[in-house]
Amino acid sequence: MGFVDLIYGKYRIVSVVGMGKNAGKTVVLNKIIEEAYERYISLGLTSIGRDGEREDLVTKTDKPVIHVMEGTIVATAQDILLNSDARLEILEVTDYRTTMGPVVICRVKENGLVELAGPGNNEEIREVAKKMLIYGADIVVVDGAINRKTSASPGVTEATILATGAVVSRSMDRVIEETAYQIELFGLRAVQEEKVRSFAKEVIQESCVGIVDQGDGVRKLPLKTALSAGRIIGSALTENSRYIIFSGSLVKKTIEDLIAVTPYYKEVKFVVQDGTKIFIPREDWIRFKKRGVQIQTLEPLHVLAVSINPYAPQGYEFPALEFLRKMKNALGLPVIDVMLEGDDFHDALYG
Amino acid sequence: MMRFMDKKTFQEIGLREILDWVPTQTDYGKELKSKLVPYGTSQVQALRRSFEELRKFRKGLKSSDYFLWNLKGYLSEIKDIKGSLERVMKNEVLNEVEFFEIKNQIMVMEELRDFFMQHPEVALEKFALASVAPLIRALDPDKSRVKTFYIYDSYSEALWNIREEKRTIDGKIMEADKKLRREIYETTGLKPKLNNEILVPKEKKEAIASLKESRLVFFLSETFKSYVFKVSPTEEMKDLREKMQNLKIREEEEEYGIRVKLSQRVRDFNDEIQKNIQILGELDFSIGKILLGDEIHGVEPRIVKDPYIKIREGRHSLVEQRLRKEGKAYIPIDVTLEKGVTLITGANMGGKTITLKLIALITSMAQLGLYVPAREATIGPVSFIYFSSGDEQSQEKGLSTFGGEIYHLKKITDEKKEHGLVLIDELARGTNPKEGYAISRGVIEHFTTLEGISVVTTHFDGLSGIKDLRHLQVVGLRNMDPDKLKKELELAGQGIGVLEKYMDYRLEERDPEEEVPKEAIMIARLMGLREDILSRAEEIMEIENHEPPRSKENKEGE
Repeated sequence: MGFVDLIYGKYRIVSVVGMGKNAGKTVVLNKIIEEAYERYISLGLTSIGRDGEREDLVTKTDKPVIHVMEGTIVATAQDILLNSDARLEILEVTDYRTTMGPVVICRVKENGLVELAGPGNNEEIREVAKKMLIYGADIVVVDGAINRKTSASPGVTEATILATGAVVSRSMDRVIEETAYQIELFGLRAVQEEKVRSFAKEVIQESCVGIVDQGDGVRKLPLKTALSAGRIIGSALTENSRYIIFSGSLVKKTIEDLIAVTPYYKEVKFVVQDGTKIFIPREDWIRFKKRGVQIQTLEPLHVLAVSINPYAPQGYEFPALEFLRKMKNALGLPVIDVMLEGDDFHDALYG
Repeated sequence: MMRFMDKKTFQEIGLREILDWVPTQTDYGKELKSKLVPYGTSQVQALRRSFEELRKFRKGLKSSDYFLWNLKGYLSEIKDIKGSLERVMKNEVLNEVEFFEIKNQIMVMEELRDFFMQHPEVALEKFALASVAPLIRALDPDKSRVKTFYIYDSYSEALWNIREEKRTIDGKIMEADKKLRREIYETTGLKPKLNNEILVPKEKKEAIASLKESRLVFFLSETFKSYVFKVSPTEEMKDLREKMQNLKIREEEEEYGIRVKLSQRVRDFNDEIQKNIQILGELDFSIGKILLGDEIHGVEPRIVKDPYIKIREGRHSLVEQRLRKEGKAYIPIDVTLEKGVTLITGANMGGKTITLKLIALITSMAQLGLYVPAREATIGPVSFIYFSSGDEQSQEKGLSTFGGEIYHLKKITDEKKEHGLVLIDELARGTNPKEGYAISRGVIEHFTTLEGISVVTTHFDGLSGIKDLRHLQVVGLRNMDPDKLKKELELAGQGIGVLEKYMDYRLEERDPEEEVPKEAIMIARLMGLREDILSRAEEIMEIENHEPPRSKENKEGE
């Protein structure tokens, strides 16, 4: 069973998110491309851009370079498209700006390599994905990132493939625990109250921190992010406070500082955009939960499958079959070994 | 615009905001709007023609439910391509995205051209677009009629050949790769992965030995548990890949040559495209003017020669909108102004300031070719408009209210021959009443010698007696029974709402000699000022009435 079997007919827009570099995200992308090509399924590809970075930083960050097939729809930044190896027909120049020019939607005319650098916020990704469907893609795959620097979230897609592997830790059990923890974060309860949801969207839009008090509106604190602001937020809580909305990422230090200065945090739910915005080590998460910290999200991520890579670039590896079996048992989700199945696909393609 | 009115006037009379109300869809329309210049006193014919055209266009546009929708659809596809045209005129070579945008735009131009041919109702002469069909053919060599762009194979035989060869070699590389992998599998029993690596656990000694012997792979690295080998490409494959690289370079060179030629083609059509861009802007802005007219329930003003303003049921759209939001009705104003000076007197809170702004707004809108918020308007263009709100504060020059006013007056009074429209709210109120009166008298007497139209509001008595002066008065509360008002106020408990309800903002022509109405004490009373203060004020008035005229009210009164 391949990724496309899991996606096709059920979801139209999916994201691929990797647990760190070299977890095999690009391999997953390439595999989806091959599977789709084999089955005559037309793909649309883009990535979540990194907003607010200077161009030199953007061009240095590793955008996935993928080999695309004729007929594939691709959304990427203008400067990248003009220098790409694949031959691309321009379908639409969107109004969505990146530091490398507007995002342009193209159709691949001749196979080749292309880099993906899509728009940097949710609304734009959603629009670009929809446009690619209109231009004929059967499935749109968004290369997502667990990244503190982007305001965009894989939550805009219908389902997510999580790429994990030996790179996460030398201990197989540890990798499995970390992966399960990541999935737990992705699946955190969504905020239910409509009013709070709309406050949260507002706060995220304005990239500040908001406190929702019982019976009142939202108090916006003039902090750009909550990175080192735990104490300020903590002091702003009252016994009537019910929610704290974080527009950026939520880190361990913020929670530690916050619960050190106020007893009211137990009555409060911490709200983040989605599970990719939480950067708390698993041990601390367990500790925080015991102390009564509750986190909710605006957009829970639905993990449809997990890909594993038993080889680490550091030079060690796990017994592939054992790793696969244990991961499957622990997660209760479809798990695909990108390296194992690579052979089978190879046979299908070249054999 | 700045020669016609200064920034402060532009802002204060509400024209800046009204222009924001003119919707434009394209950058071209926006640009046209931002560079808008009023028709001058010598351009009466041109201004009339502009209104005639707009009338014709409006009639056409309203004749079908679809026209507006259709035209807006075309305009929604328009992006600014002036940058690319500039580049092409500097002999620079455009890139694929630029060709895409130009192709898109000229295709829209051609579609719009067809649309105008099919619908003469909306096809003004000035909307006659130039044909760009030959350029479309150049950018759409396969006649696909699709608004996408690609350096198509059909651009040159050389390109076609290069790409054909690329495809052949690509096939050969795949073939060779397949063969090599099969051979490795057959000789070693191992399959290379997608990245061409073969990973063997160290315990598989036999396999390692065969890999080490094989000339098809080479040893890459060693990890804790395994060895990594990599497929070594055959001479044939190396050769093919090199050929592929060379082909890609040749392809890029060929594509560049095609882009040079296409850029040249675009250059040949620069005049036509520029003309069409102008038309797109005009079309966009014309639609904007009509939509603004609908929004403010505007009418086309009649344009006459020489400074003249006649407004029937004029409304200040910004005030009207505010009142509508508060659920209140706006009372329209009639006013006629001719060359010379008109004095407006009347009650505090009688809307004199708004009336001045309305006169300025309607006159300027008419001269900009916009529909005006009135039932009827006749406008003779003026050469400039100046509005003084009487509370000038020129911060950077460090002038007080009075200083600011005088600073501007100095400039205005020097422009004797100009057919300007000068509107001054409470002339010289920022200084002591005695001198204020004297200066006002001097200024107004000077204004009567000017060629343009001047309107001055004042609380000073005795100014209306100046020769050649018209005197208009706000009806105010004059026709109201004070006792009835008082009762109403007692019921309401709060003054301003009741005052607004009964205040008659209309203007009446009065005898020039007639005194400024004395309603300030009454209004103060209606608004609930302490009775002991008011009776004292009435006592003082009794005495003052035997003395020569001067300002009756506290200058901070309004």
